Amino acid sequence: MTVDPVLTQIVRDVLASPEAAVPSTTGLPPLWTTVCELGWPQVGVDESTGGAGGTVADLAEIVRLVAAHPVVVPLVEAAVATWAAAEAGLALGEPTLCVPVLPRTGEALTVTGGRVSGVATRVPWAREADRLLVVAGGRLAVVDSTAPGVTVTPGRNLAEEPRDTVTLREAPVLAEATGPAVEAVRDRAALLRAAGIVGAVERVGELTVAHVRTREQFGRPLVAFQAVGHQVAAIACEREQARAALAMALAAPQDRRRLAVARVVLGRAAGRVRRLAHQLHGAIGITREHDLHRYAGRLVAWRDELGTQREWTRTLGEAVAAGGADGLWQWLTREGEEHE
Amino acid sequence: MAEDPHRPRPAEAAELRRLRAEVRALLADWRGRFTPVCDAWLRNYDLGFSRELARRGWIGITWPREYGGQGRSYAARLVITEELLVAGAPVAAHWIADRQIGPAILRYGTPELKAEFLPRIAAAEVTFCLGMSEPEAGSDLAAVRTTARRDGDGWRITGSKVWTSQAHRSTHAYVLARTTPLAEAGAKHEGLTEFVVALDSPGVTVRPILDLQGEHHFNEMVFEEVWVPDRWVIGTVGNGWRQVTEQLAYERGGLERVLSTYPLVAALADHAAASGDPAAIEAVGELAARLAVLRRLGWDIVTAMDAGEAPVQQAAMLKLLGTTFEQEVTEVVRWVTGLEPEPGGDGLAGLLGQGILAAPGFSIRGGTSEVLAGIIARAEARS
Repeated sequence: MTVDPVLTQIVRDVLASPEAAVPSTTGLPPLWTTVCELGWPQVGVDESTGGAGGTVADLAEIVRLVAAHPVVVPLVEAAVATWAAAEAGLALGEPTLCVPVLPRTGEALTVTGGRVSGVATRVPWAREADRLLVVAGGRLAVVDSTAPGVTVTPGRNLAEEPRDTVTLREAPVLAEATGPAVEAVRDRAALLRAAGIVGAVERVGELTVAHVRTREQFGRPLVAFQAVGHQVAAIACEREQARAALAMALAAPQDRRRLAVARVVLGRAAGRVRRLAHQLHGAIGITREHDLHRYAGRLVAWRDELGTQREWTRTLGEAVAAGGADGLWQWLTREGEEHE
Repeated sequence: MAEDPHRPRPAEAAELRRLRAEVRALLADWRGRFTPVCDAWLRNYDLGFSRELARRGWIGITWPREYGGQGRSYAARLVITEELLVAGAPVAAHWIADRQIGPAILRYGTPELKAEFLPRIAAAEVTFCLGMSEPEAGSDLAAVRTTARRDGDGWRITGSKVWTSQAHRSTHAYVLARTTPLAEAGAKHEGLTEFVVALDSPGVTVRPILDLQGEHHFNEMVFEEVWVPDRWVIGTVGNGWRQVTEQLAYERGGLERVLSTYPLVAALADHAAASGDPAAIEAVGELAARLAVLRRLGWDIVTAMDAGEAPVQQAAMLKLLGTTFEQEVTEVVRWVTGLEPEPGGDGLAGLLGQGILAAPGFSIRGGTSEVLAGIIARAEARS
């Protein structure tokens, strides 16, 4: 994974502008307009198919940096919809927001005769989308969210982000095509969510170090206490593992086992870093006055989205345990190939 | 770390794959001639095996050819070490010299010292143990009380060292000693010097210390006016502290800080494959994910070393994380298999017994977890 540092700097500059920090009162924040104008949701998709070019690693870099920003935008969702539509050769037009509607385990979405039916729960940002990209088996269908037969019931995740229930009753399809399977779309989103977790881990770590360096108790900054320092070290260790896990997954974005490795390790890191950061922030951290809750909330929300930590653990176990000890070591030593 | 004139050349993928296949072939050849154990790099000792590795040029592989090495990369060394560790192979005889004393001599020794020792280490004729800790100096290593005083064209060393693994079988010891009294040195990090000591010298006593398994790998070494020639000083007299801290990337950054209980992970994978037990499969998934990332951190460290860096911080992190992992492996395997550990027993129950009894040492030796967390915390607070 090599990302041009210029890209990183551009994204940082955009996010550092005062306009970017204006929160959303209702609906999409002003930052979303900027993100769309800059074409970030089109990154990682070839220009020949309507994308902005760049690699999935470039897109992941943007997602990582956006995840460390206080304002929440549906970048991962829009980017996955752009990618899936491009893979299927579907034109999305220029919606304000198109999000993928993915069935979770036990849910089914069906497209027949130009109509789509079924229920999908915990769909990110559906309430703000003007277009829905319904992923049904190997078919992708574009649906107008205001069409008859479409009902969106608001819900939320632990970070207060919209996670809605989409009910489709013979909703009319605007366009449809054969496209990536549910698993492929979910994996792309899960990889980008992994990048987001890394960004949130990094931000929570920065906030914590800043806090323990400046907050004084007993006449000393907190970091001068050894017990506090050791918790800071634990956060740093989790952060480095998180970065390494993401880098491995991005070096081979089609490798489902590496994605599972990343999601397992990031799930662990998310829980640990959140716990340690809250502990070190003390009471101010468990208020909404303090910024910590934004990022710490993302950690516990995102670790179980697009496959729970448990599901990813089982996925990896099933993939690598079947070959016993020999299979496990063969697989692990293939992991090092990018160095070799 | 300054430019290292002996920096090995970067590795090529195909050459590393070939090397890995060669190591696996040797291990297959030796199957049945050693028993795989947890913590093999400290306890599984077979000079015959070390000499077999030496014949293939796999000890001191990163050192220049003129000193008995192969001039190959740290990546090549990692391929060898990780394959041997995973097999639980008997590597304890040459481990310390290959990992850290050879590199210390190569970096700081005079041409004469290098010529005298490195080829013999690479041939597994000379084996080293580590004389750092003392009864009154453990984590606070600079508090060493062992002294060396000038005597003609050499030195007289007096003091004692503890927790010296394999001292009773090693030909030589690395010894950190005070050459300028604390009062004159001004600061405790000043006035320390690194020495090579021959363990058959008059005045050396080696006493066994039994560990939790009742095994004898630890020792106390007592030095009474032990004579060491001047040419066996490693580097500069009084510069020992700076030199010894540079060893730490080698000492802490290897995968032996992650893989000490790998034989248990391997056994768990076999158990999961044979039983289909969902709990075992998930446990393998979790351990495999952690291991894949820890291994990656280990590879990042050798990549940095091959680029001429001394990644001391990353090594501290790897050791802190890796030893936590290798300790937790014993608990995961115990829980998932539901076995009663059986020290000295066969199969998984026996390995579990070894792992559990060895585990407390992982996070103590080579820098305690508390020391490492302190190093990491200070770097974070500065950033």
